[in-house]
Amino acid sequence: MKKLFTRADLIIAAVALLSGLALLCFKPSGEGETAIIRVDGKEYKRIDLQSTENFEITVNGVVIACENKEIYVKSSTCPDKICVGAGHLTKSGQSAVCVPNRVSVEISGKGEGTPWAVTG
Amino acid sequence: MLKAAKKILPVAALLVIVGIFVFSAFNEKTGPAKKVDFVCGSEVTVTVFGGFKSEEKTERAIEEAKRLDSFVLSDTIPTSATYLLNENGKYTDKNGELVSYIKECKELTDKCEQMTLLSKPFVIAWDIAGEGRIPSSEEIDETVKKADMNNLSVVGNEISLSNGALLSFGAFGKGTVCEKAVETLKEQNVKSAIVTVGGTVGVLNTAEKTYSVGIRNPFGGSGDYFATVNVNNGYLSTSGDYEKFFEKDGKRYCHIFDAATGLPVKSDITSVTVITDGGTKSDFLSTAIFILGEGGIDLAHDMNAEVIIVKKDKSVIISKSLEDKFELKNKDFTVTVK
Repeated sequence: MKKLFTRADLIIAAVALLSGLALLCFKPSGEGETAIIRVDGKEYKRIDLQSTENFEITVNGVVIACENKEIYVKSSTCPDKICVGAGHLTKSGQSAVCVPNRVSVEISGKGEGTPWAVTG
Repeated sequence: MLKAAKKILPVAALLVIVGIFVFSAFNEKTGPAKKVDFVCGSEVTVTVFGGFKSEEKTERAIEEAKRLDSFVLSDTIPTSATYLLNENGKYTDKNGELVSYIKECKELTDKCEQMTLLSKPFVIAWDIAGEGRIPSSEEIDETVKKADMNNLSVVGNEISLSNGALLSFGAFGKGTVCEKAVETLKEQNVKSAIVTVGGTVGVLNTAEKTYSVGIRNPFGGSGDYFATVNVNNGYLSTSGDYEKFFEKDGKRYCHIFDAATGLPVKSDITSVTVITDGGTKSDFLSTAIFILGEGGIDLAHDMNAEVIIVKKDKSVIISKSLEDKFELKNKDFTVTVK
């Protein structure tokens, strides 16, 4: 009975498996740690929340702050302050939107068990 | 022959496994195509899952949403047919888009006499877009007369307004725009997508697959949800008094008006979510039930829609047909099925 795998087969398989694994390992780090600030719907800044220092930036009258790896809208010139009311964003998919100033902050990706969208 | 097969099969199997590895790594990297913009005074997001040229398709959907808002539905953008009708009291609708839309909406408002397409006088008198004010009772009576649906007439392509009436699609527009964006994706052969326009969510799927959609916690921040619903295909709209309101002397006045009395709705309900097969319909029904109260559930069920009502005491009423799809995520709420 001939062996199922020859030595050559095994080498090919090992190389293929290793390259597959390598691709998996080198893919961009898992989402959910990246905050995206958008202005007029266009990406303005991307922040890696795991590595960032505390900061504060102002875009179109919206003050966005990051403290202890949590991002939030600190203040805004808009009348309704709905964006400020969104509070600290901690989970993927959460966002704070300022419609009057056309600025949004979102934690990218979709965490395990979190919904794709929210109606309300 | 058999020998060759025996030799090739294991290698082929391995290649398939590796292929899956590589594909999943690649897929994670690209993810769904998402585009964000602002339409109807709200944030619009279009997310397309899988398929080719998804970026372009999301852009087309957003362009169509913008076109519909700025040339037909908006009562604040000077290029729109609705705005021009309000300015001049009459409008000749050459392509018939506004005419057919008014007819569609009128069929809906005919089902609920406390609703009107001419609600703009209320919004102006109560300064809902600004600081908020309480008009005198004479002024309120005036607005009720202005909001009477008999002040709107459509003959052929001619639309006209009388007695100071002003057209506004505040209660429908976002749902309609959401539906239009989803339709635009369907026309481009998109199989799976989610569109949001403000609080209205459209879910498109051609397979059995479902997406979970959160229901906003009316007592929490804007990203906070108290429950989720699994939706395969359809639209979800929510109307409530927790986001747009003003307060005077400790009383809260919300932005939704009862067309029969001209007063902001006072209710033990804080939010109504409706799930159904059309965006205009879901938006209409969520507003109608918010005005009608619990009794409005029957109207929704008659129209083949499902409802989630949240009361101020955190009790929740859901349609029986939602039982298997609804998942409570916050233990402060109690759920009953109707």
